[in-house]
Amino acid sequence: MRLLLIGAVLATTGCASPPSYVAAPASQSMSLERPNHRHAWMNVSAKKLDLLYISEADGEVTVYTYWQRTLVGELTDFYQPQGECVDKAGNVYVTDSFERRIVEYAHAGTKPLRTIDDSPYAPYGCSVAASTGDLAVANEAGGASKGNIAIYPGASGTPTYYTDKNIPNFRDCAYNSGGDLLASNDQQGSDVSSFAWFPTGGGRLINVTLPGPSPSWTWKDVTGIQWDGKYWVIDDYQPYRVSVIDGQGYYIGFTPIEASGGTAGPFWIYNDDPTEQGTQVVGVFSEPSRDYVYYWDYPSGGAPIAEIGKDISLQPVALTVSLSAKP
Amino acid sequence: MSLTERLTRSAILPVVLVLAGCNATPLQPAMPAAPSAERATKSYSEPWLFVSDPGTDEVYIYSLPKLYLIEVDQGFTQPQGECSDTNGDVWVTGGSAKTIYKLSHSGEIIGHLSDTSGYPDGCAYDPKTGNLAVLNLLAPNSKSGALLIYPHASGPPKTYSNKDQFFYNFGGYDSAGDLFFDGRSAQGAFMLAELPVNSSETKTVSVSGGTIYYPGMVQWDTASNRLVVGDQRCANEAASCVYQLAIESGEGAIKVQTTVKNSTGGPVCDMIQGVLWDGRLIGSNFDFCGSEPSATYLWPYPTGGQPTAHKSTSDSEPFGVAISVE
Repeated sequence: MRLLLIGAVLATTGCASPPSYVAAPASQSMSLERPNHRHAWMNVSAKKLDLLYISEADGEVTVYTYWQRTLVGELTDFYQPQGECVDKAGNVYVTDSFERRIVEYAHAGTKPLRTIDDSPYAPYGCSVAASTGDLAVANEAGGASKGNIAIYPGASGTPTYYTDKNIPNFRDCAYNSGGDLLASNDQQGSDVSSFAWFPTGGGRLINVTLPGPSPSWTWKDVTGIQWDGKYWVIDDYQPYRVSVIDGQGYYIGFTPIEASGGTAGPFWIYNDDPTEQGTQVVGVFSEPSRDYVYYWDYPSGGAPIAEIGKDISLQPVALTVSLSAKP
Repeated sequence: MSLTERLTRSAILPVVLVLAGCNATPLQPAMPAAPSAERATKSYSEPWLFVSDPGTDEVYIYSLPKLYLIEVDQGFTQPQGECSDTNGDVWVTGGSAKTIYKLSHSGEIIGHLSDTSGYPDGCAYDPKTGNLAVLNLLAPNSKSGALLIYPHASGPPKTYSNKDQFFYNFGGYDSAGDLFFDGRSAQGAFMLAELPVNSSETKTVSVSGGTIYYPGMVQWDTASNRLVVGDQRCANEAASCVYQLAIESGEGAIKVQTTVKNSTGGPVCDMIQGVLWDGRLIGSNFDFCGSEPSATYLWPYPTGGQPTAHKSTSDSEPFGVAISVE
């Protein structure tokens, strides 16, 4: 379970104050809609709405309406669903690390559009380039001796694998709007996170140093990377914004999310206009006894403005947002 | 020493015997060849090329035109764009250090300027006023970069901005004292701008006759009386070229394109910031394309094409270049 790998536990100092909103009755939705057998299912109304996909440690991907936070579907038949990503058509890609595959679903779909065999590697994070449709997958070694970044042209076919001598196992990656890719490692055998940059048109990974908020900063526990429309966001208990230009890393700032009593991350940035910066950040929040998914304003942060998990049991590992087709 | 002994001892040296009769003088063994002058002797009166490398946090000094490595200087943090002044000093921006280093012709760090407002990328020296222009690529806290003018190359600077510009990359002064600088908009589109001499207002310079995709070097070419602007993504590909722009009435018309090639005849993956010197274009290739090692090159200008010299044993992620003449 990925949360165990993160392993940081903070003293319980009290939960964040419940946000001032009216929550949709999620548990009621489950009893009305969820079938008795473990087949994938989805409310027919889900197709018209922005959806939040959550990979869970029990092998399922639960699907909520993003704004109403109502459970509207479940995708099953995963063994170890991990990272998720989405393309500009709203198709969702779920990496199944143990099964060494990536499964693609249409927005609100229940039948896989495509299953990509990524063996012998164990896929974790993924990202689809808006400009080319290429699918980048951050691979741990799995059944091989070393991990890599696999780039599937047009999200299909035979990938090209890129390795890095300083990063034996990759965990996360994200394209920016220009088609450059930023990737990072996992924490196995390493005390710090390392980063590699793959520019559009490039032929190899370039190691890059990302500064942080202070000169002595080290990235300890990166659990995800996203693109917020303007900057890369590094998930290291807080969302930190960085930029990489001409192979040089720059620190931009961070979003101070209030997450006392637990640890936050990974995150996803909600952005319905790719030419602008995202407007909300949604992320996993882990307390010692249970987990939630919280929403915060972005980039301002602050106290959570909404949550999922108050009335139901969640075991979130990763998440992504799939936008509905806009007229 | 008998001839037999000489032959026995000369196992390494080439020895040639010629039977030429009892009056012939035996040939002397060939002398060993002089070692190649890979590391030139410092000669302070020659022009030297300074190359910044943020991959190693070093600045290399090469001789011209043969690119012999003279020295490797350390003590930098993320050294990037470079420019030189009329004293032979070289200014090197230190991006994440928010510092502009001043190096003597001998490569010694003899001073620095602080840049607290952002990450310095390029710089340009105005020989008429002694002012130093610094282009901040961007700033922390999600803010855009800016143009800083350090009066007489000392602090504090005066800050300028172009309202449509977000990233500020490289700049160059013309002979009248106008400053031209490039960068990108917040959406990533290339931009060229000008701070006219004695003005406090910047203005965007429209570019016609072609498309520049990613900002590179900016330098006034006195030979052609035109502005030379580099493109790190020539034709929107991983290739580098420079353009001559005729500047008139606030507009820049592309007149000449110079495309440069690497040592194997392929495109130069990324020449970030080059310099014109003595009928040559000099710059480094940050090769993230994987086609060959990163290297520093000399090309004929404005012809471009194949390099006339290159050096690939030192460079890791070469960035900017400047010529120092004492």
